[in-house]
Amino acid sequence: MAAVELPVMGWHRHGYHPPQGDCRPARVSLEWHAEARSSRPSRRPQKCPAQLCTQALSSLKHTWVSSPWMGLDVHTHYHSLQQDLATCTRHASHSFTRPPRKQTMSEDTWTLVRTKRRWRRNLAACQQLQRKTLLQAFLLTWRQTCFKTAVVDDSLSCRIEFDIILKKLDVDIATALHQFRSHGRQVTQALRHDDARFYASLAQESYQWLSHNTLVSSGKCFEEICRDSDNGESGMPL
Amino acid sequence: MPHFCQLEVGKVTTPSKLLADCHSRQSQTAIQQRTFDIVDLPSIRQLEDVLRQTPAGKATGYDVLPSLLFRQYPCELAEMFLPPMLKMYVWQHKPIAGKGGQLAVIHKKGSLFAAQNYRGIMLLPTFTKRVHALLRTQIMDLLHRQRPPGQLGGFAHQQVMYGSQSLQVFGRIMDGQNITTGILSLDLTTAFHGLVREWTSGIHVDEDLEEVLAAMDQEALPIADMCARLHLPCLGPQLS
Repeated sequence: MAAVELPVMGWHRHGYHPPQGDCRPARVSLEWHAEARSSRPSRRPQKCPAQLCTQALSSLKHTWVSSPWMGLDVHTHYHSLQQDLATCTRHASHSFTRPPRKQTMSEDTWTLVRTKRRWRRNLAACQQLQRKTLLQAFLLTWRQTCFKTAVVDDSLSCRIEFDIILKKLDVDIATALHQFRSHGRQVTQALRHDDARFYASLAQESYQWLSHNTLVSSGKCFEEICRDSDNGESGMPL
Repeated sequence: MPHFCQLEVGKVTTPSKLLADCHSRQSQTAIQQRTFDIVDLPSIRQLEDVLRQTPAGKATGYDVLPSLLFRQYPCELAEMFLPPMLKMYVWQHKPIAGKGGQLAVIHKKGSLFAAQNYRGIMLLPTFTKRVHALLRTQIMDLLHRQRPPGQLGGFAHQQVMYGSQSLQVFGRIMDGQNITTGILSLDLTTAFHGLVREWTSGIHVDEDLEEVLAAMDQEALPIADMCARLHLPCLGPQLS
């Protein structure tokens, strides 16, 4: 709490007028409570995400079935159940796994695709962070140059901190880029392997339905496709 | 704070004391019903059905589980919440988390800086609201067969305009027959908030209630004695 005393000034509609008649210095006392917003505890509880993890829920069911819940009073039972269910909630991005659109894709290939996708997201996030950090560093330098209010040591320490952050971001970006490209190569190879296996099984299945001449021509065509696929360009992520 | 205390018939207390008082009162209350018919208790299918009807995005006070969760996973949550709901039905004990919650303040009229111009809405958890909906459905099924023909409020396929137009038709018919008539309007919502709630919660017996009891040739007594005299089950602990 802070209190100050200010002299009453004769502000009227058309500006300042000195007090007439009474020349005594009148004073007014102002008091207020200063409280940081961040120090206030949050009164509203944070809602959990509206997705349930099925594995966590099934284990929770097993726990509740095996525990003697009949002896619990309703207050404890309801509160415990709510708290346990809150731990089973997940964000949608963590609980939902989309199946691949390509039906012939194997499970290992799909895992590689998802891994490559995560590294691509990581790379984009690191690059966005790098852009923001560079912008912050530029604005800080501009502010210190214009206003000249900061101490020189602080300015130097800020630049050193920014350099450290940018170096770490460079390493992270290089790592993410390397992982993204290497997983891209693995995904390409795995997809071609899946395609070759699919067409091989298709050829085996259609063998009995084709005539001899058609089979020979399609076999040659298939061999060319497989040869091109095996000797095709590698290293280009899909 | 005094204004909202008066509105909600409340008093200043701490959460721990409130929980201790509620639990001790529930533990000491005599068992009202010892035998149950199986049809009196809700099935898991009924609970699933009422959870599936949960509106998404509703304010739920201090409930950490959002209402969308109950709408998206009715089968899983019904299986988890069936035991506490059966406890609520059989033991007639309501969890304290379902009795109240955050009081949302809504401005009604006049100055924004006067507390008297605000009203409060209690935000209950989603599960408690759905149990209320299930209980209300069961009660309305019973009342639908027992109600008098003119009772419309709260029942399905009944509208306010139907009651208003029925009264107008009744008045015109009586006027046509030169019969003097009068219509007595009772605001039951205000009556509940001003009279019945205090009576059932046992907060106090005010002068209005004494007048009503005097008109009924009854003496103002505590709720348990009143129920014993009127040969009624004690509703106080269940409704408070």
